[in-house]
Amino acid sequence: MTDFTFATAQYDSGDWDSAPLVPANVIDSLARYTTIDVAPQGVIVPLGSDAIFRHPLLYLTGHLPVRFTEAERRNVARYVERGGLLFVDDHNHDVDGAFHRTATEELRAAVGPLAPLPNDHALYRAFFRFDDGPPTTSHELNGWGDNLVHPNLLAVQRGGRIGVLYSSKDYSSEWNYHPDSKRFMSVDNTRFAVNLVVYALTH
Amino acid sequence: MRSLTERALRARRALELGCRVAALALLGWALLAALRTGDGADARPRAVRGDALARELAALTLEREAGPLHVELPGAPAAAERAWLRALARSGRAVSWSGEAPPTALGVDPVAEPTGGVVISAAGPSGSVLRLLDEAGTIDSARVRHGGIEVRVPALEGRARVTAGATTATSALPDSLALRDVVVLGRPSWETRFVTAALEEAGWRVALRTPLAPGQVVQQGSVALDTARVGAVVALDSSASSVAETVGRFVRAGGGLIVTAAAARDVSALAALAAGANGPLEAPSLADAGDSLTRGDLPLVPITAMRPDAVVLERRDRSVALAARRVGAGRVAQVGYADSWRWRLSGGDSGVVAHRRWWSALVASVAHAPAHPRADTSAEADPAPLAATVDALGAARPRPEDAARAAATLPTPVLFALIVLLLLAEWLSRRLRGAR
Repeated sequence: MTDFTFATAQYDSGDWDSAPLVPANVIDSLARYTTIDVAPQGVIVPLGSDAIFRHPLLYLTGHLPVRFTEAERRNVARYVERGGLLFVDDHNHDVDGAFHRTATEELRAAVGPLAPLPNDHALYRAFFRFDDGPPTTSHELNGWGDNLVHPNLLAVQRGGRIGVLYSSKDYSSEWNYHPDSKRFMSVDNTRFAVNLVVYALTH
Repeated sequence: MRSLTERALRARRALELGCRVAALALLGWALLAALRTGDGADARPRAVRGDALARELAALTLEREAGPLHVELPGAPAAAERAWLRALARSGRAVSWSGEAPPTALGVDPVAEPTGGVVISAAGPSGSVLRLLDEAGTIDSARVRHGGIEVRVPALEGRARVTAGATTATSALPDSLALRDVVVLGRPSWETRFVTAALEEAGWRVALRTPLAPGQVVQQGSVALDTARVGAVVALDSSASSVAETVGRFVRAGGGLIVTAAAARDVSALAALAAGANGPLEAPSLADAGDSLTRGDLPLVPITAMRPDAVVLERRDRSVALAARRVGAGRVAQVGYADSWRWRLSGGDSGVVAHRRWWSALVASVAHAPAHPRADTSAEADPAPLAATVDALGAARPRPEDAARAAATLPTPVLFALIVLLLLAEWLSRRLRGAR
């Protein structure tokens, strides 16, 4: 049986590798809190290649405008139809920013419009409990970006399951640090990443 | 020398006499046979053609002089006509039949899947064309190649029928099955995720038990193993170890079990139920398959050292990929394929459906699904009309007069040629020796 491997999507446009420490941090949290068999290192998979179908959870982030190639757009549509979960996080934390406007437009073209995900969704109870919905990030609370605390994540669902999860909360900045630094935190802010992986593996 | 010539002449005369007597004897025999065939009608069996049978049965039953009855059937008679003929035979009347009724049989089995459907199995002679129907019309038709055909249909309207020539076999109404839940036991993994998804998409009600952390087991739905509520258990990996004994009791009580290679390897109590042992992993390169991966491209842990009561359900090349056996009142299927989720994700546009159907059919093959019989309609069913006709009336036989004629006469042209030859030989012999 294959171990869970954290996969980052590499797309042709933009800066897909803007949060290089996120994979190691999420992997650390999975190993720390769960019994999930997890590969010690993440992988990078080109969004336009068949390799994405070997990783049913994909993480996609960036600051710059996102313009999918035809192959990437087609692959994203197939990926979601087949049961994959694409987690897209706006590293700008800015609903008027270049990433948000272009990424949501591309996602709409590939898989349909995003809709707010209810804050009592199973995602928020998959491992840790988040009774108020998605945890806020320090960037939201500091007023960076669009100066908003986003109450919901957005999603495209297929057959009652999340196919695309879209965040404007900038988890990419929130989780982009060396795992050893967790010891200085009173509450581990990557706990929601554990929920995301557990949800993907069980729902 | 002289006496030798006289002896030859005497033998020649005797031969001529023999030819004349034989010709006259054949002529007399043919005349006698013709007279016998033309005997009174009362001694001949009453012959009825099958297409007039339904009309004539009542009249036949009320006939005062109940002589022998022979029925010429274009196909096996319908159940009611057959029963009537049997009643006549039981009343003391000699009843026989002839005809070209093809051996046809029909079986209908409900499929133990949420999508329902039935499998119609029809047997017929090789080369014949079978037409399958239900009460809504024709379902399909096919030429028989290897003794029969099998068709799965999503729904059946009333009874199924199969026709071959003028013979029609009719099924009973298929039973309705009571489907139970499926319990999936698996660690948080892509296999657990996509097997569960496939079964849910196929319509199964699935309860999932998955350990997430030390002391933390998540259950989605009730996983209490009881054949009153659960039809089958899918054990995907070592997470089944804590309930393995319960699973064993569940299977012996009639429940179904699917054991993967990982579960058989890590849980000895499940290995004891499995069809065989795990062989060495065969792992082809998945990258080679690109986006058109099939079940045949998956990693395989072949099933080896099969138990004597196990049956092979699927092979890949020479390796056993799927095998099953009975344990107590239940059934156990052992799956050698690993990481079947890759088939769904990388199997092209048809991978999702193929993966879903395969898992659903696999669960259905072992699931406990008690039948709820319909109201007794067996009297209206006629699943094997030829067999039933032979049972009721005996085997087909030629018409009695045909049989007698065949036994008493040589074919007329042969007889005529033989008589002419004998007389010609006798005449030639006489004329050649100078006699008149």
